[in-house]
Amino acid sequence: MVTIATKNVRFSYGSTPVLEDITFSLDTGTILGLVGPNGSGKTTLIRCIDKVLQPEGTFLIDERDIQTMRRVEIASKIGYVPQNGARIAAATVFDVVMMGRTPHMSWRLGERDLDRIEYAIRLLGIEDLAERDYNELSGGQQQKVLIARAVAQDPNILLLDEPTNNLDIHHQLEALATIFDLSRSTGMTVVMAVHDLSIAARYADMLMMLKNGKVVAIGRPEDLITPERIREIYGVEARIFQDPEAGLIIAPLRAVPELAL
Amino acid sequence: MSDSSIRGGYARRTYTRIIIIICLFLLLILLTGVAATLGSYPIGVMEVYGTILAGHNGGSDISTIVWNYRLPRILMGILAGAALGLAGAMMQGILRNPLASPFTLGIASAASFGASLAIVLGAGVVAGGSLLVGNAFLFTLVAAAAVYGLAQVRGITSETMIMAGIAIMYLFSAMTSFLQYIGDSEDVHAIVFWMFGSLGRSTWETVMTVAILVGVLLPLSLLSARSLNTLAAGDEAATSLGVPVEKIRIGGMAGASLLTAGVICFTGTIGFIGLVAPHISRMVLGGDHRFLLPGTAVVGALVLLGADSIGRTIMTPQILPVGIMTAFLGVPFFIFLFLTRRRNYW
Amino acid sequence: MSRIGIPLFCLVFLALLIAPAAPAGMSSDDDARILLSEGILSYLSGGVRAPSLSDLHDAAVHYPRYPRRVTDTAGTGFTFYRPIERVVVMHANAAESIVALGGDDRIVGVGATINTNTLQFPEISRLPGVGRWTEPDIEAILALDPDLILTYVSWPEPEKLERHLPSRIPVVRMEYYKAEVFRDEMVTTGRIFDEEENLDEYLAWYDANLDLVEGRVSTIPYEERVRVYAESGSGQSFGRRAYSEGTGLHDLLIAAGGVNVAEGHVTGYADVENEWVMHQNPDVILIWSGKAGYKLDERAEIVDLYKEIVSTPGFERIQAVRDNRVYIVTSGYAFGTGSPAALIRVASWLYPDLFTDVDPDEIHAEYLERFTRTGREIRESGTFYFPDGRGNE
Repeated sequence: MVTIATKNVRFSYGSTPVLEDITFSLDTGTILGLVGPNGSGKTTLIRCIDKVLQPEGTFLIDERDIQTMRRVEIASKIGYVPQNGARIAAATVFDVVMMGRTPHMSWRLGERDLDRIEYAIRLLGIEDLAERDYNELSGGQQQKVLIARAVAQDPNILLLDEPTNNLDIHHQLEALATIFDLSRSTGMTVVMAVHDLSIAARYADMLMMLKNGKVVAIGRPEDLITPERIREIYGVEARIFQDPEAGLIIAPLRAVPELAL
Repeated sequence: MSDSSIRGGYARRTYTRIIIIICLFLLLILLTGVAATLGSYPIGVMEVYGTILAGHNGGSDISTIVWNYRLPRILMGILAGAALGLAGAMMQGILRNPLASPFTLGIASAASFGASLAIVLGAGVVAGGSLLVGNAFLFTLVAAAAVYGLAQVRGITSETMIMAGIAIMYLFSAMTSFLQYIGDSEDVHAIVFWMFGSLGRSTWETVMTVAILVGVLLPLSLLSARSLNTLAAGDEAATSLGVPVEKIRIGGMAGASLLTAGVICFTGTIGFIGLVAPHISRMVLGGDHRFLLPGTAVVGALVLLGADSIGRTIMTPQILPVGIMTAFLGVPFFIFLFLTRRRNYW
Repeated sequence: MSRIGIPLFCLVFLALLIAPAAPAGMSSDDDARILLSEGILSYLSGGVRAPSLSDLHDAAVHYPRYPRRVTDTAGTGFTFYRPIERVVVMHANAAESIVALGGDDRIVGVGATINTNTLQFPEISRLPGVGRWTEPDIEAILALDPDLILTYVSWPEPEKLERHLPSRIPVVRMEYYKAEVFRDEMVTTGRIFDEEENLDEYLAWYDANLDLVEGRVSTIPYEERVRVYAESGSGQSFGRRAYSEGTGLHDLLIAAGGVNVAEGHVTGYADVENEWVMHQNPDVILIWSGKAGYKLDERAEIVDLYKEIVSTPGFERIQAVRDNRVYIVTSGYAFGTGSPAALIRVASWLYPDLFTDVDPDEIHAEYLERFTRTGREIRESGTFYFPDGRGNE
């Protein structure tokens, strides 16, 4: 079953085009990694999926055009984890995760709401932090809270914008493993913008490579991650290794001068 | 770690917050009872309560004083404090800014201009005795609408609203200064007195009007409490969580402006309540607007009633304008709480 | 050296001739001689404040009663070597006093509050304006080439006035509305304008009325004095402002033999509550308003003010309201050059039995006729106090 399908999606900030002619479709339960250099449009595309930005073109979620969907409806289906950074005033970890229930809850928190919040907190392993003030946490801990908030939304689709940016190796692997398991066990579709190609290779089922707002390639990681592609997308010479347990290992060698356009 | 400790913690905190609000409310009732006995005409405590219970008959000095002067003044203090505190909490919520207050949008300057217009030129929208009140109310709404219009040009974000508010504030401030310049000294005295804010003009009519305003807008504001909570996470995150950010901002601004206009057109510009009451409330109740909004209303009422009660007893029989008292009371108390609480509450 | 040598020698010779007469009896002519000697010495030693040779010449030769010296209320001393001819007056209280002494023909420029006061000052209100007493128009002042400027003690501040004027233009600072310095200020004004005869006439009127009141009320023992609550005319809208010690209204009611209920509780101006006024239960309520007076079209405001005060809830039981002893006086009446008329009126309100033989209206009419340039319109339609028997009570 196709969860996300787009056709000819375009988006511009003012007169500057940021995304052009994005067409792809995604099956339920797939983990899609968005890769590309800075400014390739990864974050913008994620915001468009969530209707935080208004793109042109066709955008279907579960075969429904998002233009016809009300904001609350989208919020109950799609969970968004932004890049960390913003301060949240006067909120405990519990309060932040509770925000995830906004599309669902009425005035008071019902049983279902509480179940879901607890589930999300335990899933991310932040029970001990539940009463702590959000602003006092480290960057990595805050990132986990934001993921938990998205999980609390009980979404079909999870969007993550560079979720591992502030995490150390230990917590990176923890968070990604959690997301991976979550997708596999519940059939949640995941769209993840990632910086690190190795992570993308490890955890994503499909990769979409973006450059200058255009889709350069879509496919499985082992098909897409080649030295030629890497040079094309990143302007970097790299060597690719294969390890039975670690999977694809990308070793960058040097930057090549930008090809003339 | 038992399975229910997370929700247990939440339940405990919810329970605590409700208790705190109830205690604050009881404190308010206590303060009201005390305030009724204060005044420059010596009336015994039991006489005061006896008169209240007996109802208004206007036949004696004591009855007139308690019913015509003290009760309206006290009730107005409570309602005005609640309204201004609530408006302040809403402004801080929708602008995500701890320095926001009901006057951030230039409202106080606009109201002062309306009052000055009535005082110096006798010009305004409603004829006769309601001239000043009508002007102050109307120009407050004009300012709010102007801020909305200006901010609309670049999108209703907290930054654009604050900038528009500052521009409006300077505009009306300059026009008020001009009116003061061309007015005679009696006019200037009247304007300055009005700008200090006073509860002394309160009558049962004005109390009723403000009561209706608060009675309607307080429950309405509670409807947006969840959205305000989520708005704290940022415009983008809130949008993705289903909050109609622009609508909430416009609605919040309209509500805060109405509350503020409805109060200061009668009392003059009383500052600090809208800024300080939400902070005090946030320190004891946390940032969840479902508790913060009603809590701030009670705290605002307490601060204003307390300030006025002190202002009319500390140098009796002289009355100090309540706007000066709120500055004296609010700021040091606020600093005290700030220093003693470790929590990073904003 | 010889160009100044001969006139100088003449002056010194003249001074030495007349100097010996100085110690014997201090007439104003004698003062003049002493001052002339001082002036000469000052000229010789030089300095910014020294008189010029023409100053000394005029004083010595043309004006026998000059130089003369005065001190203003700010404590500054001024020496005049000839009569003044071109005066700029910044505020209405000063203008009133100058008119009373007949010096208004020497006024060449007036402050804005005089320009707008066409009924009180029918002639001088048409003179060129020199800005407000808060913001003087220096250019306009200089364009009039004045030899004297009269203004309040504290306004405009010296940085706004003296600092921008050449030092040869004296700025005399007097209030003209404060009872304790008023008489001295009138004397000083008389000397400045060289109107000693008019001054004597005015002082005779002034002293006669003040002495009359004082003579009759000073005998009243304290316990029998009338208790007065004095307030500004803002009513409830802008604060019930009581006037106590240190204010002009307080001085007025004390001089009229009253007792101020606010004395001892507050000083100066203070906002008070209605309930306190009820608690004090005064015999008389005296209200001051800045409206009406010489502004003929503001009677309605005074009437409204009166009605508002007597209908204040709870006031109906106050002695003053029950006995119909609520009175309003306006600023043009209560303070300044005509204030003895207001004093008589207030005294007759407080102690009607002591003043049955005196008609306060007559005394005020006398003031308006002898000491102002106002016309019949003012005398017939001006609302200087209320109730005045002319309706709307």
